[in-house]
Amino acid sequence: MSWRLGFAGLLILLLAIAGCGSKGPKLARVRGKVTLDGQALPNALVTFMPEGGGVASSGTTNANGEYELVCPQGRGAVVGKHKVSVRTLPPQQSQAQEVSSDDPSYLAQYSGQSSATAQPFVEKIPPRYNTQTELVKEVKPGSNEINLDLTTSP
Amino acid sequence: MRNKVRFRVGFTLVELLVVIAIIGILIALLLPAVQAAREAARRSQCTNNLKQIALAVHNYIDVYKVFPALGVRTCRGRYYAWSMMILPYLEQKPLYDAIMAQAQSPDMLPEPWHTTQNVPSSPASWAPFVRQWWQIDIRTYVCPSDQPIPNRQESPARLNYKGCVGDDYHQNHFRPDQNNRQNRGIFQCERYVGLEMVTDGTSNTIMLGEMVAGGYPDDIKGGVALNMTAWNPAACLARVDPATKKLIPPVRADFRPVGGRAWDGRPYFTGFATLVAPNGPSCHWGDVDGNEHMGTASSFHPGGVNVAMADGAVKFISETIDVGNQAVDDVDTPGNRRSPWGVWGALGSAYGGESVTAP
Repeated sequence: MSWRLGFAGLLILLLAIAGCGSKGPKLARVRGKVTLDGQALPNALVTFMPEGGGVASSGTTNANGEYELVCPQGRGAVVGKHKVSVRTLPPQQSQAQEVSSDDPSYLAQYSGQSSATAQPFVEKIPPRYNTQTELVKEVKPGSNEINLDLTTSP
Repeated sequence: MRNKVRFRVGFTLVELLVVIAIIGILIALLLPAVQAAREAARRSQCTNNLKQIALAVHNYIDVYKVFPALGVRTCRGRYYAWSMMILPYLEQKPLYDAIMAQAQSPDMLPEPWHTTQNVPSSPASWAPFVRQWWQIDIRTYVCPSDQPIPNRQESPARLNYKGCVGDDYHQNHFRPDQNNRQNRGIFQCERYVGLEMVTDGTSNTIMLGEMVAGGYPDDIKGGVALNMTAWNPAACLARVDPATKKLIPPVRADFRPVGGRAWDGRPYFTGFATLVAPNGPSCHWGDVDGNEHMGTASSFHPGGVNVAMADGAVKFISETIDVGNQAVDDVDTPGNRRSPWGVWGALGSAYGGESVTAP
């Protein structure tokens, strides 16, 4: 009889092993609306960074100020508390007609083209929402709607 | 007594069912493991390639006392890559000699990655020299886990292993003495970094990393989002469409994959930067490959990428490595500021003042 018990034990062990396996970070969908002094904020870059470090998520707002987060591992953000940064995306520069780098005339233009020639750009969102952010939001499992209501005056 | 003996002969139905169930479970467990073993074999071959290249770089250092530059300018003005300079140390001396002979000959192709399709106005005199025998893939430069390049029109030689330009984005295609730019990676444009300059420690600094060479233009791995307007990695991350998990256009041309020109010494083709997390998207300023490039390491190995440190050690970096504050901009002159992009950024800088050990 004992070998039958052994079989049963082996079976249970195998079932237990089958339950193991590594998985990526647990993600939850995050969407919401960004307003600055009550007005919808278009073309803003929203970034969620986990407080303990790890996979960051990011998204840009549309004309209505709505954003949705995404990270390389998929849609959403890692579950937990995040530092949140909101900045304005610089507008598309009117770039000079660039020549393919394979074209012989490329070298003549070489020194001129770079981000160094980009127009200066003024950030209208206060630094306490981006470079020195104090904004902390929690992402819960499931679907999240996190609206960010920013104010220019402290 | 006799009854008991008869009872012991043969198996009951229940026992047979249990045995069959156990065999079934074993097969169910083993089959995915066989597939994983195949990927594990490819990964170990990929790791070995990276180790060989790291050793070749160290042989180069033994001869020249410095790391190779990311690219050096030829008399014709374009950049020859580090991956070409270390060919003699990868037992590819004939290939190296052939390319150099071509480079010094006045009536041949301007650059070893040229094909007739590259330059629409190419003169007829080029025609005999396109698609030379040295426009080939070197096995050491190809990671077996990667997928083939869909369009090889302008991609004569494949490269899956890139030189680390550090935690630098919008100055990494410049010579450091141009426009007061500072780079902090092991591989810099027209600048040779000495071992003594790696003050963060050679075991704490990334020298080489792998990158997906092919892929389709809007893939997260292998694709490139063009016309970046911001200088921070978060803006690059935001170029991924949440619904489709593809890059939002404009994206790179189909015939210009990042791993298609092993000899072109510009960051787009032979370098990567440690700003965006590994296996994240790659982005580019402007719409031409010669500009600032925010390309990150990527691979098809589950969970992360292989990198070679400056001391030659090959390590596996998880794609969930700490990447710090992704919303911080890159600056022209970082000096010795701590990398804002966490452990990943700190590993990329050779002299950022962070002696962070790879996790």
